[in-house]
Amino acid sequence: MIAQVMDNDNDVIIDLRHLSKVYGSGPVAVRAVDDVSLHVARGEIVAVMGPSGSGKTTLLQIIGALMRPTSGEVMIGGRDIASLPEKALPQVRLKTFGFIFQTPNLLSTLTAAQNVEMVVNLGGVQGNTARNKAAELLERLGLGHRLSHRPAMLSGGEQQRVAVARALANDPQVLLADEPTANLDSKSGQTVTELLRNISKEQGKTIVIVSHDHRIRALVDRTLWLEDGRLRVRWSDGVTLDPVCLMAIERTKTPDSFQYDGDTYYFCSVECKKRFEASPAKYRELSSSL
Amino acid sequence: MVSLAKENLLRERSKIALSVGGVVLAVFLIFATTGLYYAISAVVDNMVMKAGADLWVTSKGSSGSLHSPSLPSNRLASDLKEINGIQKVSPLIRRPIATDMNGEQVLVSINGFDTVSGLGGPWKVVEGKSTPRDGEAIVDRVLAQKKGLGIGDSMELEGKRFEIVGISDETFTLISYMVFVTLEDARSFMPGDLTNFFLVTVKAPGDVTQVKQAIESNLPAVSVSTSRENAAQAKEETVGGFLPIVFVISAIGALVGVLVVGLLVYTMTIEKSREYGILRAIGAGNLYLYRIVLFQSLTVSILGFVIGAAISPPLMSGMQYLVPEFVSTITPRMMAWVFSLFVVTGLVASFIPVRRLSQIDPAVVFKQQ
Repeated sequence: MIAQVMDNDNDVIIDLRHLSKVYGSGPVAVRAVDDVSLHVARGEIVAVMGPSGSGKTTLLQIIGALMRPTSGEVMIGGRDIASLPEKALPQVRLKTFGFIFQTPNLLSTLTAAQNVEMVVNLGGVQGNTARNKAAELLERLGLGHRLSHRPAMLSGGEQQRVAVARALANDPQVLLADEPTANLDSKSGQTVTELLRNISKEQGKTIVIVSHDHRIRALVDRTLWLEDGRLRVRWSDGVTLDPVCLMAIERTKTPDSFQYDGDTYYFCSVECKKRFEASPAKYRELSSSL
Repeated sequence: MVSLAKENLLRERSKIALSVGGVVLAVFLIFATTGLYYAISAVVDNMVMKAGADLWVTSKGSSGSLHSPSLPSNRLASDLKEINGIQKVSPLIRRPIATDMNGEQVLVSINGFDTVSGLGGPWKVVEGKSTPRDGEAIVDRVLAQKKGLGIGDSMELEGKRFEIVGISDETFTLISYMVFVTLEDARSFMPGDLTNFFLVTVKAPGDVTQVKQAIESNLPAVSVSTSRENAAQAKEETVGGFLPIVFVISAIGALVGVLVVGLLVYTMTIEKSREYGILRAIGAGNLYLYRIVLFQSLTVSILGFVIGAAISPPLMSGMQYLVPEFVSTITPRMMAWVFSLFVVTGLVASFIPVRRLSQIDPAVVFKQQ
């Protein structure tokens, strides 16, 4: 296991600190999430993969303020949402996160446009402004001709795209996706995945995707492996550590590398690369001590 | 604003129709019962208020006007006329008589009034004339309808024959039917020179209290009440006992409404619990969810009221046609009261699924459908 810790700065949107979730107590206690620490930068797409029962969904629920951790801190944009009172959490979910689930989970009696508009309404925008925003989002996702269709009249891929539009309705900083392609055929799955990538890159959204789908790795910035509730590095997959923040990163995915003293160093972000360039000897020593 | 509550209701038409039907029945039940109470109450009120008197004079200690044991002597009339401020004094005989009609015992209330002054006579004649002569009678509409009596027919009361010359409305008191005859004819049903009441009118309307006090001080052997006091007492004596039954039936109706609407919104909450879970997951608070249930609950209650209020009058007329004794009236005030009752019903019913709503786990969204 690696503990991925770095100084909190403006680039970090999700900062999990020694997060644990224990179900039950005594000898039957199950540690679904076990001492997970993690940083996710703004605009980054992170995939959390792992076998069934590894704690992926629990981790996602904790990040998304749908479940409280047994211990640890969930810093979102510098604020610990785990310490907020219960009544404050719906607003956090509404304004900070957009959720995309395995099944689209659209409201069956509402049209595609209404499903999105309703969330805009919940965010405090009403009337034509909300209606136009919903239509605009759906049009952007290629569903302009499906605005007045109810979920039952849409294909699985279309439903999932409506769910993506709904997730974007209140312009959240973070999108949390739980197996977004699991119920889709390969083509629709690919469309949704590419859609998420484009959203992240074009709109600077941070996206955390929990998935079994290995194809998703090609589109994300970083893949984390969760096993028995713990984040593990799969060194065999070309994973290395960012010498500054000690984040596990895949060599082939990072755009930022730097040659120093005959070695190549990889970074999760330009910020880390800049820090390394400023004092390479310090960071090389730190990373080699691990 | 998107109304999920409205959209959900529109997609559940058959379920809504059944629930609204239940509320409509409850509304009708309340209207019928309350209407019956109101109609009888109005009749009793009219019997006093529309008799045309300012003051009612009875034997000392007797009360009410319908079946009062008041038996003052006829001679009291001349004593009353000597009191200052009195304009007219008219005796009135009201006596219940059980009579046989077509082999069935019927309780009628003989109403013998002074046809010259008109005080105590019928106040709403729907057919024929309003002033009988000796040997003539004006009978209640319900009695006439029930026994197939009409103008020109005859009826027998304690061996005395009367020709029916008029039909009066609003003169069925739930326990007896009023029959109006001349004072002279009514005397044959009374012992000696006794009467039941003296109806008094005063010269100046503002002097009623003064004249009342004057009668009480000059004639200590009588009781005097204003028409309003007498009406209140008469209502208490006749339909007062019926009022708790009206409340009980109204309460049952409201309870049926609460259960029907509550069951609907509870069922809809259970069926839509995943969708409520989705809403909670994406950030809807409990208040938002509660508002959905409240809207559904109030819509069904109010819709049930509107339909119930619309169909009750014709339905009650139909029932009245089939069962003449079913005299029932709907007034604007009654409408307002029943409307308020069903708004409260909707509010109360919306609380039924609240606990269930608050227990819905937003994490349900992570489970496969």
